[in-house]
Amino acid sequence: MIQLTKPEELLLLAICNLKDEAYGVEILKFVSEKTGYEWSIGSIYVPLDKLAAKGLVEPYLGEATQKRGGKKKRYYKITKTGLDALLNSKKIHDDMWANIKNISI
Amino acid sequence: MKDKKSKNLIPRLPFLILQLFADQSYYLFASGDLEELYLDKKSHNSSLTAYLWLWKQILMSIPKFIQQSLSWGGMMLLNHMKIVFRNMYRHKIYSLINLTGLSIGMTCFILIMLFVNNEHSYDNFHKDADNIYRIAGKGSSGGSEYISTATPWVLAETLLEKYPEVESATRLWELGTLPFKHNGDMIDINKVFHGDQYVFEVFTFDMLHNNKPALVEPNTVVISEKTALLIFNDVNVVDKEIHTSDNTLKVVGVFKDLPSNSHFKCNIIISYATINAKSCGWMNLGHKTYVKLQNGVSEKDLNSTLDEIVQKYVYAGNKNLGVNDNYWMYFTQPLKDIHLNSNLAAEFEVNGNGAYVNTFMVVAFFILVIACINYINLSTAKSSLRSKEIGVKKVLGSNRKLLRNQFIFESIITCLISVLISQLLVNFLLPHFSMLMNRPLEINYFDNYFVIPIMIGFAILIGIISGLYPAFFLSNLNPVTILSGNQKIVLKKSLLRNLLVVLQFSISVFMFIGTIIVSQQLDYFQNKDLGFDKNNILIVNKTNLLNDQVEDFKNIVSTHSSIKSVSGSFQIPGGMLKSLGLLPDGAKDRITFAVLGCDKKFDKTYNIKVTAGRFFSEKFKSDESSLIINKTAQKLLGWEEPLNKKLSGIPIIGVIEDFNFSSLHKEVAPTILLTRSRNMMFTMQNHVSIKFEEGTETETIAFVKTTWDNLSNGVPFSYTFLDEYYNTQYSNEENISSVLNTFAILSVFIAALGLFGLTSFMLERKTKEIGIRKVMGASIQNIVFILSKDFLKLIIAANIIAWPIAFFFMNNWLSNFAYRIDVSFAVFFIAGINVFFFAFLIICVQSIKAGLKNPIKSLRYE
Repeated sequence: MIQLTKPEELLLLAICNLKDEAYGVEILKFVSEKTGYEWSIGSIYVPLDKLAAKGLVEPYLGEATQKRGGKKKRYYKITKTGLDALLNSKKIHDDMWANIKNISI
Repeated sequence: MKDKKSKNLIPRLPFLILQLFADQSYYLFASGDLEELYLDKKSHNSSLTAYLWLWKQILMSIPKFIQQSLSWGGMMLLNHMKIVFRNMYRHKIYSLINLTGLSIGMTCFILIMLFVNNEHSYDNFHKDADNIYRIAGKGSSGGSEYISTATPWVLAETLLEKYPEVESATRLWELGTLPFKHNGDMIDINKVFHGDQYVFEVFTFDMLHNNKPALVEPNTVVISEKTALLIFNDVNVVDKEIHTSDNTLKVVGVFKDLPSNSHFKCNIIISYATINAKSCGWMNLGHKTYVKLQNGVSEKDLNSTLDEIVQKYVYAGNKNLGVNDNYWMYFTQPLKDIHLNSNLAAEFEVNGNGAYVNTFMVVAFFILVIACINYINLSTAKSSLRSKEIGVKKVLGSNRKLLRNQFIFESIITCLISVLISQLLVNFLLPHFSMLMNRPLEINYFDNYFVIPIMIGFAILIGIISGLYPAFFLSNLNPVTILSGNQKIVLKKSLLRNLLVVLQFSISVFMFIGTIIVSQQLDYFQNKDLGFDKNNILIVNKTNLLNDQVEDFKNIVSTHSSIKSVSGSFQIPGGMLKSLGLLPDGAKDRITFAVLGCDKKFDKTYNIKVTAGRFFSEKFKSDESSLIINKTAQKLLGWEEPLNKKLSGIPIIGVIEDFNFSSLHKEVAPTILLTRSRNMMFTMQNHVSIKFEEGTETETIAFVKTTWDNLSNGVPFSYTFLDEYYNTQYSNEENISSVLNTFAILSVFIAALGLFGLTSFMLERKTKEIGIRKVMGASIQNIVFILSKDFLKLIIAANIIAWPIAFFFMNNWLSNFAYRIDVSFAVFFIAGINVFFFAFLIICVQSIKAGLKNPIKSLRYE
């Protein structure tokens, strides 16, 4: 089973959340808001590139807009493998949290 | 329209930077995203905030992009390696030529640099070597300069006692070879010194038993490991005794043999206390003084201290100094400079020559340049072979940057392999090279932590340098023109390539010429008529210790059948002469002459021609108060008839032909010969020269030794052969001649190798042309001529360039010698012809091979 790193996991979750709106700008906004600090464009695209290479996400092109100076948008869709990895990650997570109901030091 | 655009203006610079770092595959999208966000920000906040945000974004992303390209790069590395090896295998011949050329070039470079490194490393193993100086003296008396390492015994003591900036000062005096008792017999041990207790404070000797040896007491001695093993077969010999013929010495320490990069080597050091050195004053020279300064004391400080000392002690005691340009001074020589630059009288050993060492470095560099040029030329010439591959790659989507990197990578790999091969070669050749250069050279990979990284870095550097031009050239090839089969464009004459070939051959011709001239000059040194015969002469040293018995010694020796003539003299050819100022008849000022004290048989023993008057003779008692001058002296005096004229009241009874007493580096000095002088100051017979029959060395030595032993009262027998002694003056020239001989040939070989590769290519591309010409009726000769014409033009150009440059440099070098050959045109011609011929041979062979091909086959090739 493919192990995801934390940034990878967050990106995959973002993609799942954003559904049809999962492209660079929106992903960046989403994770920045959720994690509380601003992510850089590099820390979005580089891991996504790796994920794409491993087959966990599938990039597809969207239409060009005037707003982007005529450049197309690249959307990301999660694949089955990606979904499996994400769910596996969640399962491990839940298992580990299961017995720590009221955590305190 | 315009308004809308200006509202949405996006700064270009940040995006350019982004493009530099981000990967191709997503740059478009990432930049689009950034634009969107930027415009968004700009509309909600100020322009400035947005702009700053943009920069922040990009700068934050850069580390990630770098990280990405590194990890992708790592994965690609293996893939590239596979491709590189596959390519090399496909073009076996050319890869082989490249590897050979580069390996040989690197090997030469490494070998020479090992030598250069060794030369520069002399005496660096002493602790605080930068603070150690030798003190030498120079002065002028009677009009001639005297510069020597010999200093008075008291100098070191004075420095030590009275000047606190001197941390320590010591003296050394080489006795030479002494016999020591060993197993009931006497064996000769050379390099016996006198030293004082401070020797070990100034110098760093590796003592075997870690005791602080004293050398304070008389009759104590420290010996080297080698000596200990020789005499005792053991190294734990402290407190044991060794015996000279008249003395017993207690061993107080054993030291590890001095490494080879030391300007003096010694086997035994006897304490100064053993002899009565204290009685020697400031005028008695002969000891070598070394000082170690405190940290922070500069050489200048030491020099001013020495000036003080000279005034206080030397000038005070000698009324001659300070008048008439007579002076004396001490000066300092940094320890590490001695080997490279010091060539005073009475050096311990013949030192190296800094200028020559630099020449070696240039030679090493040249060879490397030639090898790199080969690689560049071959790679670019190969382009026709790789063109299809490149074309297809480009069509399939590879970009210039990628291709460029691939080619640079290829060249780095080639260089790394060459470095590996050159290591094998270096290790194989090192023993021979060491012998050639007369010193142990070795390469330790693990001693210094930086040896291996330097080799690898070296390979990478050469790889990048050699690979840059081919990489750019190849990656720029247009796939359309290549794949459409339009060979013509690719075939265009490359000016750069031709220039490089010319450069290669110019360097080779230059080195060839240099080699011939240096070796001619060396030959000249060794064979020129010196005005005396230096062969078959045995020199017995220290005959002054025989005192009155010297005449008996000479008489007995001359009775032996193998011996032709015997003579005693103050100095032997190759040594330095003292000088004396004399007042010629009718002149106002004194003239300085070199003085050689000798006996009446000197001319016979050395075969010196008398051109006027006669030599000293037994028959005339008055000869003892007369002198003989040489031709140079006569010219200087300007006397047509010098006989019976007087110099300072002493009559001239003869004139001899000039002879080169010192090496041919220097002019013959105006010299006078004396046979007697006050206090024997000039005429003490320090050496006896014995001319023997050809081939009778062994019996001559044996007989002379016996005679010596009978008369010498225990003083050890010490001898040399004059020709060997005289020739040591040329050892530096011999070194450079050997190096040039070997490496000039290698450089021509490497350049020729490159030419071989180039011609193969050219010919391959011209196959169709050759086929057509043959069909049209051209003969083999025609074809060979046409094909080789271009290359031969290049070689001729190389010669034209190299000749004047070589002439300039060699003339410059030769001007260092008083006696030198003339640079004859023939040399240039010979070098040029040789290189030309060699190149022509290669081109011919290739051309004939191409010319013999069946035109049908070549024309069918499409």
